Amino acid sequence: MERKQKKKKIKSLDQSLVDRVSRLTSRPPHIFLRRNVFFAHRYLQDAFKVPLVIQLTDDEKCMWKNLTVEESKRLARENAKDIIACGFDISRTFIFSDFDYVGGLNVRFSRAVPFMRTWFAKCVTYNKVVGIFGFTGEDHIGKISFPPVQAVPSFPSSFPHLFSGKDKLRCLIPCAIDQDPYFRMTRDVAPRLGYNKPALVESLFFPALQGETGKMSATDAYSAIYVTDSQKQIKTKVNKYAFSGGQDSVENHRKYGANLAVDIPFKFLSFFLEDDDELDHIRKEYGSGRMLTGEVKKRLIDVLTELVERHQAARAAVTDEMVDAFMAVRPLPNMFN
Amino acid sequence: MVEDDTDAWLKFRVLCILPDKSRAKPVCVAFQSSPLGLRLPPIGDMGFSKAQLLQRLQSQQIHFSQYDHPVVMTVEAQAKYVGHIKAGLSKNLFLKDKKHRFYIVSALADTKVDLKVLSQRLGLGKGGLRMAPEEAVGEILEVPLGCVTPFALVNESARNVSLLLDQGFKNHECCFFHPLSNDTSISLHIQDLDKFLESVERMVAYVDLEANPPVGKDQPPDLAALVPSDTLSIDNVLVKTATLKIDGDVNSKPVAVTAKASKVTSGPQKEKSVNTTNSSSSFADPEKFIEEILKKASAIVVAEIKEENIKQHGDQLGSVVSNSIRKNLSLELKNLATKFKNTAYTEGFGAGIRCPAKRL
Repeated sequence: MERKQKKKKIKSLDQSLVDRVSRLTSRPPHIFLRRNVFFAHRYLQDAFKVPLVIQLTDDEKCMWKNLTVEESKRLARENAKDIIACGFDISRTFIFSDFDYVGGLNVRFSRAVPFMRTWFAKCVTYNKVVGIFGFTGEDHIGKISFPPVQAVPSFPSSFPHLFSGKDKLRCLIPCAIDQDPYFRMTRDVAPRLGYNKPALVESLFFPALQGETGKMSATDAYSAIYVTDSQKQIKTKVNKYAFSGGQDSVENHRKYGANLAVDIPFKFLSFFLEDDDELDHIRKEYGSGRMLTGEVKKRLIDVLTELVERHQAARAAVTDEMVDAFMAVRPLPNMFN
Repeated sequence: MVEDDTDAWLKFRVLCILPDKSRAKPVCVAFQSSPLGLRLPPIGDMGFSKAQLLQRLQSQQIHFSQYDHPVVMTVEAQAKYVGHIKAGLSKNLFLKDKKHRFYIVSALADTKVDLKVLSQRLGLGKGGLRMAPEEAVGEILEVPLGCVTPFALVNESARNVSLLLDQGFKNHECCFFHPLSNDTSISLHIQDLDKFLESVERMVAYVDLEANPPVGKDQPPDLAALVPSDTLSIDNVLVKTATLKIDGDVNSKPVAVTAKASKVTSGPQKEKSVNTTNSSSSFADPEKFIEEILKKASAIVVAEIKEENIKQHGDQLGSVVSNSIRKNLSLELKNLATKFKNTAYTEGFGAGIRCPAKRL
């Protein structure tokens, strides 16, 4: 899983930027990254011209999913490649994995994080953390001591190589709604440590292909489109499994139109189709019944195929050296330009 | 030359003195004795000899202790001569998968190695791994039978053999291996073995060979990265040895354990080959980069300037085309530019860390 955070120096927000921010979406990240991860963070990075810090919680995966350390690290690196493929600017982006950033080669800087974790941990009682996350007596202490690990990158002093001396820097965290407990706890503790509270932009979960009732998962190949899917697979998945809001017969459909609130192909298009005018057109035509579900699905297949192919091409361009460069503990001199 | 046990060698040497009386010196060809009968050695003088290897080790200041003994074909036999010495004995397996890729698994003598488990962990399915045929030992590793050893990777023919070392070696100060001949065993520090293998540009992969992690949809094969990227059949090897050179092809760079695309994601082969060609394509080369941009822009211009559009827009066609370019290409060109920038930065970064810092 990844946590995205941004540091922002500006105090007041331009209304147009806020509008732009609110229009964008973010998606729950997925450990194996066989799912399309279309990050809003890149737009935020461009919109605000701020540095982006990306935390790969490989230790969390190791603890919760019972993977070996090597396996978690390897998967984190694979995650990093997909993230980089989304087009982040290397001169403004720092990616790190929990295992490697602390106690890694960058000894000079890695002292900051354990210090921050301890300091943070002292501010949260056992009862509180049990109350927030619902731990039981059977949970191992690795899980119970994990929340500080996730919280601490919200503070600039965790990254002395980037923000040395800038303790009042503000942090914006776009995340999915299920991460809210972690960051509410962080906001609670922040003043006690003398830092600004991080701000959050939360998004709802993206619906699964089968509709609002379903959930996207790695074990159910038909619940989501994966970034590794071929054109054929995308076509099959959308045609066969995407829940349709269209009526059951052509006559009824022409009469009543499609139910856009539950129609999955349209929902997906509203996220992925870049052209506002075309989306509007589809909304009118499909909603009134003049356009059929098949057409909408076909358009979606084209859009998704293009997206996935673009992502795969971009990922192919990501070398190991590039991952190393993104993850290197290095200054980012132009990060606020 | 492949060395063998003295008696057999002498016997065969006598046989091969050429009858041509004009040639005074005998052709010295070493033969391999095997239960299957005579086999011809590789053409040309290709394989490293024990002496050459030991000389190499010495020149790299790698300390080792050498113990000569009669030829041994098994770990038990070897143990009779050097078992009393405080060093880990190794057993070495030469394996092959269904796609003719080869592996050396080198383990402590008492580590249990389950080929079925290993096969799954490498992503080869159940039963994808078996013992390599005896010919392969000579042809690919260029060592005699019973002499499989990590040192065989020094040979060019073994360039694409993947080496799995038992993690357990790290618990011993020294371990025993055959130095390309089974009438000798050398013990050396395991770090020195690493050092040597790195000096011949071989990746060292330590694996917990007894581990049996589950492999399934959510748990990708953990050793998948160790599968060689090239398939090299025995026929290929023979052809190549005949031409006295094995091509170091594009994909022959050592496979890194942690980072290479594994078989989990679809199309790893495609990804790798695209990777290596793209490194000199539009992401790193300004000329190709510009060419790509111009190609895309031109395509749109050409598509937009049609009779109906000319009629419809007349003078305004220019701005229509311009808007169209902007609308259709902004995102794509931005992605391209970011890839270019990231690649350039990465190259600079790589150069920077390799260059010794000169600071006052």
